[in-house]
Amino acid sequence: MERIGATTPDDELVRSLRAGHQDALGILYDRYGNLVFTVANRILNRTHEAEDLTQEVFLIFWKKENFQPERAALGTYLSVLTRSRALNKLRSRSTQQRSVERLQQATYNQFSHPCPLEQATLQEQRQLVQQAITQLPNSQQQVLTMNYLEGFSHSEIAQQLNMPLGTVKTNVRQGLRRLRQTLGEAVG
Amino acid sequence: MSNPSALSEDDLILVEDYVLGELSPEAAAALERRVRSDPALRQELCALQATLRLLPQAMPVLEAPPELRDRILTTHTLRSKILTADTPLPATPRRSRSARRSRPAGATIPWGKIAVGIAAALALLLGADNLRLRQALGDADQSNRELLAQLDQNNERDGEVVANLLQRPTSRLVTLEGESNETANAAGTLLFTPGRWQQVVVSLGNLDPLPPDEIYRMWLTLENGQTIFCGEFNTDEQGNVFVELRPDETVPQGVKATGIFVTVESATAPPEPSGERVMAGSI
Repeated sequence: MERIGATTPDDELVRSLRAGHQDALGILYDRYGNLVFTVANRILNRTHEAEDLTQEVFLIFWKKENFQPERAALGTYLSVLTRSRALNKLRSRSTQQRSVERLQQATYNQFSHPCPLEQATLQEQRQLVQQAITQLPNSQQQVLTMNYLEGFSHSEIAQQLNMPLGTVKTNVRQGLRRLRQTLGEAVG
Repeated sequence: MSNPSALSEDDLILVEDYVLGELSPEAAAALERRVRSDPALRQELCALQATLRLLPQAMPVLEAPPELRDRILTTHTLRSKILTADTPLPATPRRSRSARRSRPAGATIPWGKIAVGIAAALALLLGADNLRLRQALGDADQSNRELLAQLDQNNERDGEVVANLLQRPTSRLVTLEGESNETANAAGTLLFTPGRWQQVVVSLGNLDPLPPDEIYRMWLTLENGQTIFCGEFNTDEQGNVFVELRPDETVPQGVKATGIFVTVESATAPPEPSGERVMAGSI
């Protein structure tokens, strides 16, 4: 196997990691560690739990071997995995804090193939998605972020923002639709 | 709301609600059936899912603490070694230090090295500037080897338990030593995470097997003088025990644990430490 380095593509690093080359995990962590930590911290809102979850995600990824590069981009795969696990953790503390309702989005064919934007560099992805989200009206941006990125259910958002539940649902849906339209062919 | 997609407004709302997790299980299953035979529906579903998958990229990226990288790579190395160690492990007698040093180069991973790895990893996890801890880890070398030997002789689940405990940034290792004449040679290790007493792993050796009507019990002492029952166990025929205990009682918040001790009790006695103390260790 060729020598791996900071410019080695994800799929090669994954193959290398599975072949027992531990350096590959360090390079993958350098590439995606901050993203995983950011997602975890946004939902859990506790630094030490976000650190634990970041570690958990990378070790699960190493051990389970169910990531298929031809079906998913690693960055989004790790984001989805982190979000899903963070929501589970949130649910486990829900008796003291808050109820987590149907926050685990449906997963039909979730990883069938990476969309064009997922095949771009992380920097390009960030640039395009950040541009697209700033084009949303504040009300849509806020509820979509609270719902998807912070793990609040629609009813929790309604309560926090003192907004009718129906309005929250509509804003989330409209925000998603507009974001998808702005991203256009970049998401397929 | 505009709808430039090829779908009807009703179908578009249905797909949006689906990816947002707003459909009932029945409605979601019905949509999934339709998606299989409807390319336009499938295309929109995939695009909406991709949009959500990419949404985390909109967040300002936080810098993970620099030490997290070391922690993850150290744990990975440790777990790799635990899961791939294939050297048959001697039970008793144990090899001497000089015998281990003379091991030929190029041999498969020796279990002693793994034990040193565990100690080193623990030192990293706990902060290597703690002199008392370093001494404890040095002293615990023998016990570590016993723990790893047991670990390797058992199944992967044991490895998981230890590895999970090791993953925690504040995990600690406590050495236990024999206190009575009969248990002067007994030694062992307790692996735990302060504040998370629901799970501790205990590895002890050279402890005499007990008759069926007696049992070893482990206790935690707190700074307020309270004693907490951790669990009970017996040894195998060689006098070894490797066990995961899950204490029912929790340590009151803000109260520090100061020590661990083991007693021999009647198997039917109530959970009070009234029997002879045979092993102890300080936290």
